[in-house]
Amino acid sequence: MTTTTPSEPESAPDAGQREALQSALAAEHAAVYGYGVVGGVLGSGSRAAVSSHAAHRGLRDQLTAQLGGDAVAAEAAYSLPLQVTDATRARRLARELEARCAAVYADVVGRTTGQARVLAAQALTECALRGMTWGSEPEPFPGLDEL
Amino acid sequence: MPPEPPASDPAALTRRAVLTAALALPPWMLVSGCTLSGPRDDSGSDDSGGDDVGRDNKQAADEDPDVAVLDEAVAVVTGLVTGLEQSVAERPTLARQVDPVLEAHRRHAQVLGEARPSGSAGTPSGSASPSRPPVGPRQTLARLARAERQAAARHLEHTARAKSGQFARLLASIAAAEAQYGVVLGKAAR
Repeated sequence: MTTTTPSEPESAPDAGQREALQSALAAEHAAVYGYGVVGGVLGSGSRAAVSSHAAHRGLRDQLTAQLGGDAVAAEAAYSLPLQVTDATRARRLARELEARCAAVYADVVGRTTGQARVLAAQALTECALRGMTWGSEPEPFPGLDEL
Repeated sequence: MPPEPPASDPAALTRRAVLTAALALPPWMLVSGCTLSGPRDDSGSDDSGGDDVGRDNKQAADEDPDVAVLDEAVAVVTGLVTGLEQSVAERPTLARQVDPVLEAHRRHAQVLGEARPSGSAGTPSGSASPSRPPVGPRQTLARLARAERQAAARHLEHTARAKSGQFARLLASIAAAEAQYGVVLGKAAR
């Protein structure tokens, strides 16, 4: 018979971890907004836009659920790092969104343990892979700006 | 103070500010500073006779549990480097696809090596992979892609186990890179 010993309460991240997860959630809110713009330009026929948007909504919802009541809310709007006037720029924005999210998740990995860290590490990989679907080249240290 | 722009203006609320805030963390240590633990008085014995390495490693691991994780992580990278080198040696025409990946893993090995606390023994260098029967270039690339994906999974495990947040961050990034190279090599195999 196996008894589960809750050595690490997974549902109750400590204050530092919560703060890290809040930063990830803030980044996801921004990414979801950004992909709204990307999708607006590329249209619903762009599978990459649709699936990327859905992936970030999924992460946003997962983080929101983990954080519970005081999960950080989305801003009404965000200024984008570039003007999206055509498909080329829309794809560039998508690459930028993924690179920024990758950096945020890398930092979240460093500030968390246990399940929260695993979530962040997986999200980092997902961002790195999604960035490639938008034309980013693979790189030795995704998410680490100093390397 | 600048006037508050209307909220309907997308430029009003800066997404940049949000992401910047998310990144406004204590500055992460640069590569060379990313050791597993802080500076430590290295009072352990310095004898590194062949068979005592294990004991020395164990001692280092007792002091810093991440040394064991580091050893495993380095071994995974070394295995990839060896496999990639062998593949190019056997099939020089693969250099175009393989060399950038090889270069990245050498960087990984270098940065991981710099993370090693002084005084802990290095990992024995990775054993050469068993020689394989010659296969076509696509099969070789497919095998290399599989190795990248497996390495990514291993490094994700290491990420979860690492005590040091800095170290975990580095490992997670390496895992993400391996996932990327797995895709690149997998596409080249088709």
